[in-house]
Amino acid sequence: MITQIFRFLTSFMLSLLGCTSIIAQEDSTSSFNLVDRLNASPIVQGNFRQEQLMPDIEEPIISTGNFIFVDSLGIYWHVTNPAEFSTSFLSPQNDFRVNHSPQQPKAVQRVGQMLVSFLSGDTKEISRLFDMSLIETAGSWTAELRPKRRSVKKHLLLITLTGDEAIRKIILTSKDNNQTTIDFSDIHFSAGYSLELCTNIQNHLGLPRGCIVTQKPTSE
Amino acid sequence: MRDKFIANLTGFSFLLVVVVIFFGAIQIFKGELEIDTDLFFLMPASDHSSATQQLQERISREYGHQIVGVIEAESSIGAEEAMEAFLEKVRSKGILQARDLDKDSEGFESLITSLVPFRFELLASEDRRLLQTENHQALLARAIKELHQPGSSPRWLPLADDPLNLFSHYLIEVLPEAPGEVAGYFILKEQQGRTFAFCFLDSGNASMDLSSQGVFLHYLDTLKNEVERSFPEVTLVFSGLDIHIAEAASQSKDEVTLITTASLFMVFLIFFFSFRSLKPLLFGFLSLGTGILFAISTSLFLFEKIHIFTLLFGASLIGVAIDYALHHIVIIGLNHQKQDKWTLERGVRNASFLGLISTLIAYGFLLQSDLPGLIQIAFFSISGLIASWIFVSRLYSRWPIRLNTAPLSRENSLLSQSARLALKFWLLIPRSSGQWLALFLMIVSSLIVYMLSNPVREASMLYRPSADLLARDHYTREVTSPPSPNQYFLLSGASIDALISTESQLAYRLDKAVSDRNISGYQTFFHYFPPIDIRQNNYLLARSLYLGDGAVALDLLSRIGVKEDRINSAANAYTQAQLKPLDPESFLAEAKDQFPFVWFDQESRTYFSVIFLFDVRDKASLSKIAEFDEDWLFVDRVQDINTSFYQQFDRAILLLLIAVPVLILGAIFWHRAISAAMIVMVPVIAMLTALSLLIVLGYPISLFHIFGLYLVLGLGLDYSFFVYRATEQLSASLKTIFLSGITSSASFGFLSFSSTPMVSAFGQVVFLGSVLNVLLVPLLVHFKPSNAAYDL
Repeated sequence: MITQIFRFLTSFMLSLLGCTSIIAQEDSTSSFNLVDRLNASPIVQGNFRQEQLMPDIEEPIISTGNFIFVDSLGIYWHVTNPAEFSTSFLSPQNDFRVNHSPQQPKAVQRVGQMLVSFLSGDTKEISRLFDMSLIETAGSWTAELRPKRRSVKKHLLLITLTGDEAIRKIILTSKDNNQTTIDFSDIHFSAGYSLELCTNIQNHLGLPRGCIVTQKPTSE
Repeated sequence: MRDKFIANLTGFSFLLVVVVIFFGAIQIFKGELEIDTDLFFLMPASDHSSATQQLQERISREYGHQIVGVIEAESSIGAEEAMEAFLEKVRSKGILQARDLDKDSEGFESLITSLVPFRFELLASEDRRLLQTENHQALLARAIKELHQPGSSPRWLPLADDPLNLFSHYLIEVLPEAPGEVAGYFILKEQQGRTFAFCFLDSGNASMDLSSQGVFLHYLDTLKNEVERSFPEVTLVFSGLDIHIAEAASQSKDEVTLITTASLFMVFLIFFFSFRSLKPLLFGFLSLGTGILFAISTSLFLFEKIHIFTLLFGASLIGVAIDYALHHIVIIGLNHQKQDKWTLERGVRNASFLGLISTLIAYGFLLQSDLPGLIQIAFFSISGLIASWIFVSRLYSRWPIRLNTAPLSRENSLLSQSARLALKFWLLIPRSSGQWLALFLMIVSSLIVYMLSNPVREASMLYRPSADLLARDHYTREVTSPPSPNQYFLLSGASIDALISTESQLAYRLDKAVSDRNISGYQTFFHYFPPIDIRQNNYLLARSLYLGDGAVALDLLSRIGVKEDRINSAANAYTQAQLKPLDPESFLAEAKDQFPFVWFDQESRTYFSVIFLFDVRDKASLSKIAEFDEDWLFVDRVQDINTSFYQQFDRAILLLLIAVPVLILGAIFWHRAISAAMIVMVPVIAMLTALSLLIVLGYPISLFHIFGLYLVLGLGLDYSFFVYRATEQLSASLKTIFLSGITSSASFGFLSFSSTPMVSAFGQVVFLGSVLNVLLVPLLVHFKPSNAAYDL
């Protein structure tokens, strides 16, 4: 019984920790399906630019890099500027275990899983946690996600997704006047696995069936 | 003169009984009769200090009335939808209240917030290590990486207040892993490919109030059926202590009704077939009613609440209390023409008084047990029997009953012949053969008891939940992973800092226990607070981040472009923190609601805290850990209860072994004849034979079988007195004994079918013992004083 209280408190705490910068997930009663609007290719690659606006900081905090999204595997996120590092977030059905050190905190994992959901267009999971509304214009769409959970609503106001055949922009707006914008660019889709792709993802997402690589995956 | 004194005494006693019943009736009429259903009634008091008792009270207060509801589904959406629908139904009925987990977290959130000013003293182990090795580059690199995580890394504090995000690291390290995703009133969890949603429901008094327990259980069943009907792909399971209590109480309530009704019906049948007259029936029932009402009234005054198990045992009292009325009605009613009234009444009264005493002594043995519940049962039974005896002794002479035409008065009636069957058997055998047969029976029974008995000395004899309830408990535990409620460490210290220090030392050993798989984890409440020396050291280590040239944290803020006044605030916060370091005692005083399992005991002037354990697999190793420090106490409630039962079992047998020779000597001394020893030996043989029969039938012998033996002895002595002392009334005595035996056997026979192991054990042995007493007691005719002529 004690654990139940304590753990729920932890979970709440972690969700709070995640909330200042993350995507709160809430159940949505939206009827639209994001998957139908996205390109069906299993592999999406591109560049990103993340901009964070905080009240105490005059200039936004900017990071750039590139990403690889593989449906059913997850996202490989490679930051190149201002520092270079990479991280990955696995899809729920991917049981590949990467020995990251240190291990990602749960809140960070939830962030990543949100990204995976968005990029895969998995509105089922998204709609569980957000009230969603969609505005479509010619060739593009904008979705607004408002958190359903009380604990998340206290910190996160809104997530805005903009896209066409791929998600082009994600904006997270929180109650303490923080705003994080992720712009995706140079997006290209593919169905097959190149050697370069396989080499890049084998240590982070595991190897899909289409990949043949001679070297064994290494741990970071 | 003596008779007048006794008459006055019984008169006064009767008046007292009436007054007590009157006041008791007022209380009952006012609705103040509370029936207790708490299962802990049966548990022995803890042998540990009052600290463990205080802890048990806290656990009971915090979680005593919680029920866990678990929904299992194939998907998160399915589980969530079903749970939302379920909670909506719960809210609409209002019987159960779902715990608002978000609201609970608000208190916790404020607790964490109140730790913020002391954040410089609280470091995660990795951060401390990096600071100790002055590896500022690693700290900085990690901070930058976190800053540029997708969506940015989670932070408890704004960037300007905690540039390197150290406070978040600390919280992530000390906070236990979340059981799942908190969603308002429930938690979602993925496990083995399935999704579970579980919530905590407070039943309030619904499950404790006897009148609503049946409704409560029915309500849970209805909820379950409604949800599973609306969502066929989910299953809903409830478990919790309150469900155990409600089921046990509901069952016991049914059994009380059944046993009372059956016993009363049996008494009615016996009176009807024996007397065919309303007067004896009315007299008998009035004596029973007086006894029961007096028992309820006195128990209310003494205990405030009467437990359902007391009533269950009390229902079997019907078969014993009726004996006094039977003695008077049968013996005086059949012999009134042979002896003068006063001599007869005096003789019966004295003999039944001795019988009362022997039965009271038997129940009195229960008073010495460590089980609070048994003390109430014993008191209830004793007071009921006394009141029945007083009623009969006082009022019979004013209500003389003649049995001239009753079936029982005819020697050739079935009842009369049945009553003499055992006597005929013993008279057929010569005295010496009878002695040898009795001796043989005693030896064989003793050998069986000694060599083949399979004693059960565990708490499971008190209460055994149904297999379904056990399965549900196991299932919900697998999903919700609660800590063990019965095994934990209790720590003590003269101050909070001493407590923190001792806890951190124990945590070191518990980490090893986790790696050795003796437990799967543990939970401390002072994990938040490192010992004072580490806190002070942490503060000093953090200095290089906030003060001096190259202050790492401030440099980072400057690089990012944080405004200068905010950078200065960050430095000032560090400096200010030195003036008011963390004082755990003040903190605890303000945060005691968030720390219900840390408390200060005024009496012992000691602080206590609890370390809860998960999946306890090796209790012996944990017990050994406690030996390292006198401030560590490993509490194993199950073992404590079992140990208590071991001790009580042995003590009960010892008392019995002492009581028998004392009673034998008493009987010899009282009657001035060696043969008087048989007054005691006959019920002893009945006891041993009853016990050996149970053993041969495969029943494990429990403490409650031993307690039942006391009553077999007491009832047997009652019969023995009548047979041994009877002269002209021997025939009537045998009839009385026969009828008493039937009533006792019936009452305790019904009791033996109870679903509660301890109740059925008691019933089994007394049932068999009563039958054997009736069959064996006529043997005493061979041992009556040589100058005693008796009329058969």
